[in-house]
Amino acid sequence: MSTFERIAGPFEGEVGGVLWDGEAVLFTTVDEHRLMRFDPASGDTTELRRYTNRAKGLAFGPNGELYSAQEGGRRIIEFMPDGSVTALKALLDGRYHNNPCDLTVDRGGRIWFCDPFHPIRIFGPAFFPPLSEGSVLRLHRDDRRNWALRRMTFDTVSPRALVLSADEKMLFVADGEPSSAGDRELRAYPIRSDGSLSQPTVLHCFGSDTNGAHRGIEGMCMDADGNLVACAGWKQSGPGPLIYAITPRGRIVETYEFPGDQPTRCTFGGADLDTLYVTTATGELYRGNIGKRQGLGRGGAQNGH
Amino acid sequence: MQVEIKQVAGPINGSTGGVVWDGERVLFSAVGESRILGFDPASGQISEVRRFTNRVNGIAIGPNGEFYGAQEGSRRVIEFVADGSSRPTQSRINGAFHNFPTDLVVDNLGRIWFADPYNAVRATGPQIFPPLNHASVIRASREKAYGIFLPWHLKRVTFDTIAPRAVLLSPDERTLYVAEGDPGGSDRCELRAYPLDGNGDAGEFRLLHKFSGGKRRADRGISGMTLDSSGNIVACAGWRMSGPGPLIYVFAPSGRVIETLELPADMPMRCAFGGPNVEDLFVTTAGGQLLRIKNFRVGSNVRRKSDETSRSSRVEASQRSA
Amino acid sequence: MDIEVRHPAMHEIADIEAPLVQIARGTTFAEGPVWDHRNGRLYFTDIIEDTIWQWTPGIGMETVIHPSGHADGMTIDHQGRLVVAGWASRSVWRREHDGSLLPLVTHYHGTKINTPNDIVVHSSGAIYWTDGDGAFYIPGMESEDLQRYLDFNAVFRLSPDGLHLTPVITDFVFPNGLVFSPDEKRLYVNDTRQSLVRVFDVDRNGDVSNGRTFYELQGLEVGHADGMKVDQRGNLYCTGPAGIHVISPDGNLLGRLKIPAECTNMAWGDEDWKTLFITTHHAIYRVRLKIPGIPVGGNNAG
Repeated sequence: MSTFERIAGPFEGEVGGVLWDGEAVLFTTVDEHRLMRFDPASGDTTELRRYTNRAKGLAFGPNGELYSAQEGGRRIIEFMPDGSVTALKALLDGRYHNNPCDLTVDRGGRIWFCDPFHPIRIFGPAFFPPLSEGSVLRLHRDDRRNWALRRMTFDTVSPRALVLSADEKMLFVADGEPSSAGDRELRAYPIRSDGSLSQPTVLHCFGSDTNGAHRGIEGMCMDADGNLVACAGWKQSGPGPLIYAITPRGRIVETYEFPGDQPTRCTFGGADLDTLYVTTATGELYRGNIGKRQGLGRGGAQNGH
Repeated sequence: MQVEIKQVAGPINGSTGGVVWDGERVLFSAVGESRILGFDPASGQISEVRRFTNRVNGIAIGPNGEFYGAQEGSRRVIEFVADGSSRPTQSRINGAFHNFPTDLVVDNLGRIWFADPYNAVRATGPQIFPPLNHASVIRASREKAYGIFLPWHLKRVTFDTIAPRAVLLSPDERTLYVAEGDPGGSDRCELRAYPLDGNGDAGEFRLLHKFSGGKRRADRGISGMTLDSSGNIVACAGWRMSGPGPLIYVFAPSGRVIETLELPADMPMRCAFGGPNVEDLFVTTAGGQLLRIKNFRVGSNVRRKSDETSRSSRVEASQRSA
Repeated sequence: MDIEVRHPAMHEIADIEAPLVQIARGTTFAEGPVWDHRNGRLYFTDIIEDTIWQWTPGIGMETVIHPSGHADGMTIDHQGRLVVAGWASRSVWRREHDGSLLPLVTHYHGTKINTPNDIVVHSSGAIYWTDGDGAFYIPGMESEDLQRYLDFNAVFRLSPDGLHLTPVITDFVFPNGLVFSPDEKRLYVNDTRQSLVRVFDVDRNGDVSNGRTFYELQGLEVGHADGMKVDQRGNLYCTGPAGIHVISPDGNLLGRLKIPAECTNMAWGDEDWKTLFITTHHAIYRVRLKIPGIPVGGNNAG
């Protein structure tokens, strides 16, 4: 059983990343170019940053750094405590990558992110063409403490969301947009000891019919049992907007109906990590309980995600 | 209450297949043994209901107690008559022999809807009739004239399937659910909902669920389905060798997965609710078992099969002088 | 005709100069050939098309009986009447002189028999046939009642007076073709599924015993053990891979007649009984061989 209520919005355009910082919920209003904060204690929503250039996904680093996948800037950025923003500069083999939309940070401080192509033009002259593929990329610091970039997947079309397993030996990736030919897939990539990925298993597929493509997974987090909690679906086709609980092997344990449309990202919050916060592509922020599920405590600021 | 899964019959030689509750016993096909067996939940006894069935798989009971089986080994749907005999229905559609009926369901008008895929195992005898150039869901119906049934007439229902494996009608019979796809095939397995109009013609399907899988590790998909008392689709799917394993899925009519149940046996085949209150789910498996699942979901409306009056047709005066 | 020779004696049986002639075609599953010497024509069945045909030299194919209950093997008794292994009709029946059709056997001890496949008439008038279960299962030849009741696939014998029905052999998997040796002291019966021919001793009362394997079919080409006949020297002709296998009375393969389609049965015919008519699924062939076959139908010449 699930119960959801809307707590913020509607905002213009979509609401993207969502993150629990220990006391409050951070979320990005992508098309409004803002970073927002919802305080459950007071119920108020405040603006933290503006002019974020379509920052979407959010994640904490090992020392509390706040990173974001900035779609409009085609880069990963860090919101600094003094109010400024730094770009993590790194080129992939000398070229600019696409439009990061989601990211996660592992225990070693490496930043894994989804890098699909986004059709909305970035600001300014388009000097740098997009890469031909949308892949999962990973930032790490080299021995000079500079950020370096490595390509991790070679078989994705348009990765939308990603999450690491609790032991960080598996990377789960949701690949494929509704406009992609073919199915949208949820995949599990085993991570080798050298940090590379081996062949994925497809855990779940979203197809299409005469009503159109079924919207796939757009955001994921982990619960305390090691299951994926994933947002997917829309009202116009398929089984509708749902929150899925999926085992690492791909068994759908159950699904929870979602009262809004197009759920996008999710994270557990609250003192016991038992409240699920969900953003939607229609500009809202919801919260609710899904059964008795609780979020994975990863320790540090990544709790609930 | 805790879900309870128990093996109540088998393993028999080869796979068990179709399963249906007839009001008193759980009838199930021992496909490879070419028999239909009956499990009596009251006594726990297994009895033989029919023999020499030549690989009848899916079985179903009609609204007036008719008992039908999809006879894979002979490429036909046959009727098991109450007097112990069997008779064929109709194997030709527009003059050509259809493929290998494997699963079937009977609607309230007595029409038989069956899945007619190709089959790797040859039919008995010389291979005279080539298969159709399509594998579809077909519907058999017959009219009555002056109180007598006219011959069965077949009509093709789907025009966009490659390997239909299981069929089910919604409670109001306005939707046909089809489990489509072969795990070895190029397309992924799907669960589809076809809307039916007043004539029983199918419109464009809604995709309810798609099963995963790359080329070498495809999810097996659904092999059998039934309805629960709320009109949800209860389906057998999966295998141990890839995907999320052998499961019972419960789908809402929208396609939403309400829940899944892990099974202790591999490759579930078909399922049906039965038992005195139609509260237990019976599941057959490729390993030749009959499982009973309690405290999971409950079923509803039961059709009773016409009683068998004799095992062999006994008629006097069999010979005449030359 | 193409011949494979495994033993020199094969040259006394067949000649490659003899042409293999197709005399009729268009059937779906031809079987049951038998020569009607009184009228100089060949009867045969099309099982799936549910028809009994006759073919007359100079005239061609004509329908005799339709529907036929999907009749299979046929022979002619000593009174010249057509005796039919009724296959999907689950009976053995006979066409009387007035044209009526008379069922001779439908039940054994009150239980419906299986599906009679092939049939012979002993010199005493007793009728023997193979009662396999094929018509229940093979697509395209549905009978009214498809339920099998007997637990065995028998070779049955009906006494000459038609009153006593005995299953003389009950341990076949799929008994198909059967034929007596020229002196009727042996009965050959083949099994399609096991791909072999068994031989039994026959006593004066027509009872059968001492079954043993006589010949196992050789070859990987298309073809299966179906109909069988013998010639006057006791050589056994049996359908099988590549066409027709010719086996000496002591069980050795002498050679094979290569037929370009899957054979189902054969029958000796023409006045001197040296013509072998061969049925395949979709066509009937004829070839002249060197040793005459056993006449059928009483009132024989020879």
